[in-house]
Amino acid sequence: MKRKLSGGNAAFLAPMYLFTVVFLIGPFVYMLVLSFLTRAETWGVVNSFTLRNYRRILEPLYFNTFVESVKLAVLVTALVAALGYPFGYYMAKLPPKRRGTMLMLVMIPFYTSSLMRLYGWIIVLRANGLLDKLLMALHITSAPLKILYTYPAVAVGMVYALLPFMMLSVYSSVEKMDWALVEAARDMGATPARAFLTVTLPLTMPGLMTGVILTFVPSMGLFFVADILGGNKIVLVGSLIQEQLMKVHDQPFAAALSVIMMLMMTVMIWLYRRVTGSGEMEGVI
Amino acid sequence: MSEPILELRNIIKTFSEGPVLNGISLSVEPGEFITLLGSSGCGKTTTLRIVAGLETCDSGRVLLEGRDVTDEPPERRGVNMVFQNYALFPHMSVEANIAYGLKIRRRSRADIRRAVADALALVQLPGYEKRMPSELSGGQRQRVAIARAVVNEPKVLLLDEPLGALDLQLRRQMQIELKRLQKQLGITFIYITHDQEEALNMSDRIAVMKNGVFQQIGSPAEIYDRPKNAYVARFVGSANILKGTAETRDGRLCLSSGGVVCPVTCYGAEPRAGEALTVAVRSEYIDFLPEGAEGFPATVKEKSFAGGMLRLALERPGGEEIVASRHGIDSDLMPGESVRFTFAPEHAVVVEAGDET
Repeated sequence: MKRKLSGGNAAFLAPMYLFTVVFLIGPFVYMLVLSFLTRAETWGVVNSFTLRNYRRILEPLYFNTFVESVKLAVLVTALVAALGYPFGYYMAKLPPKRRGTMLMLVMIPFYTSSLMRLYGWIIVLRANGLLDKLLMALHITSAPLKILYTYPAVAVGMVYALLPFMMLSVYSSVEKMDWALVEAARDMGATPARAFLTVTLPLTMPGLMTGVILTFVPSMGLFFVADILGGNKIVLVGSLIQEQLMKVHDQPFAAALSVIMMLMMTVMIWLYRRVTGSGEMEGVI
Repeated sequence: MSEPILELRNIIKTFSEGPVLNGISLSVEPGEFITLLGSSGCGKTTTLRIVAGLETCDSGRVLLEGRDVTDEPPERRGVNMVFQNYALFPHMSVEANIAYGLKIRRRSRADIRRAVADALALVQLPGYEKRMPSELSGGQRQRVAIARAVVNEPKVLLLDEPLGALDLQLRRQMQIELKRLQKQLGITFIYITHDQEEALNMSDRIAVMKNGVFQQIGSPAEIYDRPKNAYVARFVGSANILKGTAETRDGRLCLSSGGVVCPVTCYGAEPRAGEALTVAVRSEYIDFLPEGAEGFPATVKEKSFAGGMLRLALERPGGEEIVASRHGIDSDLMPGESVRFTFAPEHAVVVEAGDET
């Protein structure tokens, strides 16, 4: 929309600009400024410029947290893509009637409190919980696995929480596929696998990439998943920010961490736009 | 006779909505241009898709060069299809689109480049390699789609209403080009259209289809001049249909309708006198008679001009409409006038006879 705005239109848009400034740009500028200030000895902030907060991020303790967060986010995103793509694909290929039912089934838990669903995972994953009992009853394992409060538990929880984003964004791009193109590929000698790799996958890439963004970005910050399913053992950037802000009360450092995280996400989204050549996100949002 | 390049044996196909193909059989000679002609829903596209392997049939056999390919997937059939909406890969350049099938067959790079350039020259789009499909006009996309199919040197090329989305002028031009291409390449074409003019223009043989059955298979001249039934007569060249009873006069079969008797031509078994008889007469063979002569009475309903042809819509006393056409615009008949018309016996073809129809 590069059309010039007439005066009347600008007036109608004013509330939107106001909203953006007050609730988006304002807080961001505040956070950015905060990240360059010094923490007061006891409480609050001193107005003196410093780069100390950013230098601190490079300290191994905090830097490793970033590295671990990115690693977990990559793992979670890969798992979500591997599970979510086939599911979204088959959902889109279902006859329209059953498609609606499947969409409903995906959406219902999506709209339920995520905290509540995470507590559900505690019941499943805890020592001698549902999963342990099931595996032992099937004689697959002989002793409880004690998955809860481990890295895999956090990964499972995140995959579970973020899977719908991937399924829905893949679904919406597969649904738009022109299947005659796949037929044309087959007609010219492609096996089903080759037709998928050369035609379907590239053409549904925007959906997959949207899913990747929608998974990767939040998985960096889903601190409550790490808190609830990881105990205090797994510390992610999200948890770190929350800790610095709410427990240590080091606002400038929390702000600096947030700025770095936002920069990483901005880079991700910029890459996405470069790859798909569009500014629009597929489907959800 | 040489071995048919394609043979369909009693193909039956039923979708959940109902039967589509009710046992069709067809034998196609190498190098032939055969058209499946019918209105939408007649089963012509399904037939083509079964040949391509994109659809399975419930029963019957598909043979390509004598080899039974009924259960083979599309990639192992050696036929290629030009899709109705071209189905060009939007994420690939023209070159990559055309090279798609060649790459699968692991042809060398130099080979592929040459074949692509040749194919583009063939469809008169030289130098278009690097364009994307979105940058092409409808006619250009059509040409690329054809190039993409013929570059694979298929035994049979299947064309599913390839000109359907083009405007009339471009259609005419492409008709001529397709025909030239087919002669030049010597590839067997199976062509689908609902446009009878297109079918008559281009085909060696036409198979007229209705309700999943071939109504008649024959050369354009046969289909046009000797339609086998009323449907074919009406669909191809929109012939007039006159119903009446059979009568014999001076040893000739005649149609008796509304008290008027007129000799007709019958290519099949002649009906006995008194049996029901349906005759087809093309609009250009309707002759007007001077006042008082014996002929079928009718009233002029409408007079219109279309492309140098004068078209007169007549109404018989029973309400049936008859269309007469003339070259030039010389008729002084006006709407509302009463006329009498007749036709030469050789142009009145029996399309249905006997009481069973």
